[in-house]
Amino acid sequence: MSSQFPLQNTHRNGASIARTTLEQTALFLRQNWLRLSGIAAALIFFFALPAMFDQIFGFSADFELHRVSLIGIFIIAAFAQNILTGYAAQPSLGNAAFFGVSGYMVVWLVNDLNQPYWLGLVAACAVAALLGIVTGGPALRISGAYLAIASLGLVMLANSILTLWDTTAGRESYLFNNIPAALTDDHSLYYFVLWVVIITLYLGYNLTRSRIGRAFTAIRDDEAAAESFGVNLTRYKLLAFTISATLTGLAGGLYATWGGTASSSMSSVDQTIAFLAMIVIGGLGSIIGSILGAIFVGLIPLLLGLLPNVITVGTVQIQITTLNTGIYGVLLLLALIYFPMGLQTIPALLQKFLQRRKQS
Amino acid sequence: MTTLTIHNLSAGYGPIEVLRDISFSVPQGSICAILGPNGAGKTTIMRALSGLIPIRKGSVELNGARIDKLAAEQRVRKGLMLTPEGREMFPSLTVKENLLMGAFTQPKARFQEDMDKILEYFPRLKQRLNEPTASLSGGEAQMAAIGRSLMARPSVLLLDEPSHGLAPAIVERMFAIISKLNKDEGLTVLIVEQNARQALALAQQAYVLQAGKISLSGASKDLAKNQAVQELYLGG
Amino acid sequence: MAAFLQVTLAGLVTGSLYGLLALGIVLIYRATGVLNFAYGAIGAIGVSVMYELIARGHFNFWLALLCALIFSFIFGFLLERIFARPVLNAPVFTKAIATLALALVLQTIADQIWPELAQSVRFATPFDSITTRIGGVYIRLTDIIIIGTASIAMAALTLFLTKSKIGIAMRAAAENMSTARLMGAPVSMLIALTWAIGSLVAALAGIMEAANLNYVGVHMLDSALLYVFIGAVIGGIESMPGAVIGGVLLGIADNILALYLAGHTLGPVNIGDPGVRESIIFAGFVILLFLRPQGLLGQRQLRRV
Repeated sequence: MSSQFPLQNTHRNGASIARTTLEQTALFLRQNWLRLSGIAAALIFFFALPAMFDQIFGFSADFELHRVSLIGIFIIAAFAQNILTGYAAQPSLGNAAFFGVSGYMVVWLVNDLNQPYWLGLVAACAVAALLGIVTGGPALRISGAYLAIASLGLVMLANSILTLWDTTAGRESYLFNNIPAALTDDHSLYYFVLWVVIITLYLGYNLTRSRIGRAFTAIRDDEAAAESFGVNLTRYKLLAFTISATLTGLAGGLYATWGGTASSSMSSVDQTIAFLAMIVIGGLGSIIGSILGAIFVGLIPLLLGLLPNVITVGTVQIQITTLNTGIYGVLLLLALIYFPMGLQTIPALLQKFLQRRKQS
Repeated sequence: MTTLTIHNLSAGYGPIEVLRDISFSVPQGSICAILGPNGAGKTTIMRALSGLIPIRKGSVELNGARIDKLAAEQRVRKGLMLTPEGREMFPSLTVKENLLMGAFTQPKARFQEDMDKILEYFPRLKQRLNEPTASLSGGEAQMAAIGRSLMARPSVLLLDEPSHGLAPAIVERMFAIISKLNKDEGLTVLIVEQNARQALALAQQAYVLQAGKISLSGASKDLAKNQAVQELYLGG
Repeated sequence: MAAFLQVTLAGLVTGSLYGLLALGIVLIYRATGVLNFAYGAIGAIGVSVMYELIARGHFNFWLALLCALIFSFIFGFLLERIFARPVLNAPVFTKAIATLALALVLQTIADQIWPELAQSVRFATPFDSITTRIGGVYIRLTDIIIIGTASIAMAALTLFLTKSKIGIAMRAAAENMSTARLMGAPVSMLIALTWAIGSLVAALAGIMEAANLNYVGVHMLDSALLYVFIGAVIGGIESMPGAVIGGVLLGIADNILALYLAGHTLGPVNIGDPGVRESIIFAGFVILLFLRPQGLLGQRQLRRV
């Protein structure tokens, strides 16, 4: 990930630079053709997915598409966790707290207070950001396993409070009745989520390339050295907490929209661990890792659901449905053992493989 | 009569070969020094001899038997003990517990006797026996590290940069103790040092390691007078 | 007053179980850097084996107990060899997530073997009905046995780790693996032994929890596990006595809060709801850690340069 996109800072003074710009662009394309074509293929694939689903699944296409939209929401949440843990090296497991709270915020604002949807979403992000600052401050004093468990406590706290809100209000979960009509359609929801993911990742890519991103990486590599080079640790760590919380809030709001309800299980240990699993499986400190991890964690259960309920081997009948969790666990273990640095290493391995074939 | 014989040894990390075809030997009851600049491969020799990294070529013989295929923990039982660079004590364990770890391969009945004997050489440790080693000063920690190694009753003691980070007066005292151990107990020592002047004064024999190869060898007295060694390590 | 003593006793019982579980978690964490989220599942499997031996094998209680403990010891050893070894040198997070995956696998296997244990099944002990009354406080023999066994187990483990050669070597290997090898200690064996002992402790705690609640289930330790982690961190996860104290404190606090919050309301909120109790405990825990980031007995981590 070493080459800079040349067009960002070269079109300042006209013709004399135009030629070098062209050469640089060509060089950039040559060096990154695999990655660029990967991105292009992915974009085409995801935009064409609804049409493909119509062909494959027929009547159930909308249902399947709806399930795939969830993976998009997970990508945002995984990237949020990755900013905090992968880039800024804060082993915080508190993101599910923001996920749940912002989910409830959106439903409360749009449902009960009759605010427009976009305002609800923005307000939910703002609340999450605020909570990120409030909890991130003290969290800076805690390190390692302590931070991990303390932030897990934060999730449990949010879970208890949200559950309490539900029981006090006499409901099972917080139904979202006021979703804008446009987003109740599975196709439009899919494209909405897709666009939000694309914009988030584009901004995120630029963030990781910016001064802030470099400061995060410096903190991760060597905190003491980063500080001695004048990186303000407190400021940048707090910024990481805030950005991460904001994006998690966005994902939480989308999740409530997606499910048509907000429930306290959004702020559960399982949920926060799922976020962590995504980035560990995908790869710490990597956008492509966030995407692959979210797809792994989100897609595997869907694929396992496609298996027949019962497989008969000879006279033995195996109940596949009851084994799903275990199979998922085994796949997770295999991924961790064979890709200890995450699935993000796959493109590099692929590139190496292709180059070796070209040489021989 | 030699105790430790190294023949055509090659070793390294990943694609990098640090040591190339090194041969030398350590006579029984002697102190041998390996000198060399940073990055010459001194620590790599120690790691390869003690079994922390595998060797790629050649052989290591201890008391006539090959040990280069043995795991690190088995080499201790054969009588080879390394005091690693940077001392590497177990910080939250007490000095006594560290000594007990050194005696891991020895019968427990012998522990008290061996410890008393070692504490005679390192009297400073007596008062600190029940304190965690994290609280020791650098000099005390180095003494404790050597004491810990001696608890294994090694036939050859490997010392990796024992003077590292210590004040000259402490280094001098420590080297005096090593010399005394060598004379009184007949302890065979292979020492790796950057501090060439003091190492040459301590050892009877020395080897100069440069870029993974032994470039010079001989009696310490002769090497100390050697023009090249003087220019390189003794400041002219 | 009697009510207070009664819940304190109950707190002491759950607290000593939390403390014992915390001890096992800290043991494994220090030796291998694994925050073991599969610990509850490992303990539950130990209990399930004992249930199997009693229900289907018609073993007597004590023989079944012995066999279950031996099974758990070997089981822990095998788990380390087969599963933990490949990720031993992976980053801490990878290891933590790997134990979660392991928990999923173990629970699926347990669900397959004991489908009836997905729900709670009655678990009887020979000393169930024996109770006595001192002052206004009812004391079950079970309570005394649990507190006694947990204390003895913790003391025995502490003695083992500080006095025996193998125990000291386990601590040494936890601090510096390669130097422990240089001393001639069989490090890979020691790490497997750590898991074996940890698994034994989990099964012991699980069995006592089953005796305490009078039921057994594959998921019976799941909810306790989080409390145990919190207890371990309150005490200081690098410190074994700290972890025990943290676990005990949490158990007592939970029961006492339950007593004083029961039946009260605050506006529309029923503060007798377990959710309020949980909120208070988790909030207290988060605040405590902010005030004392290294736990009650943990030492400040030194930054290594």
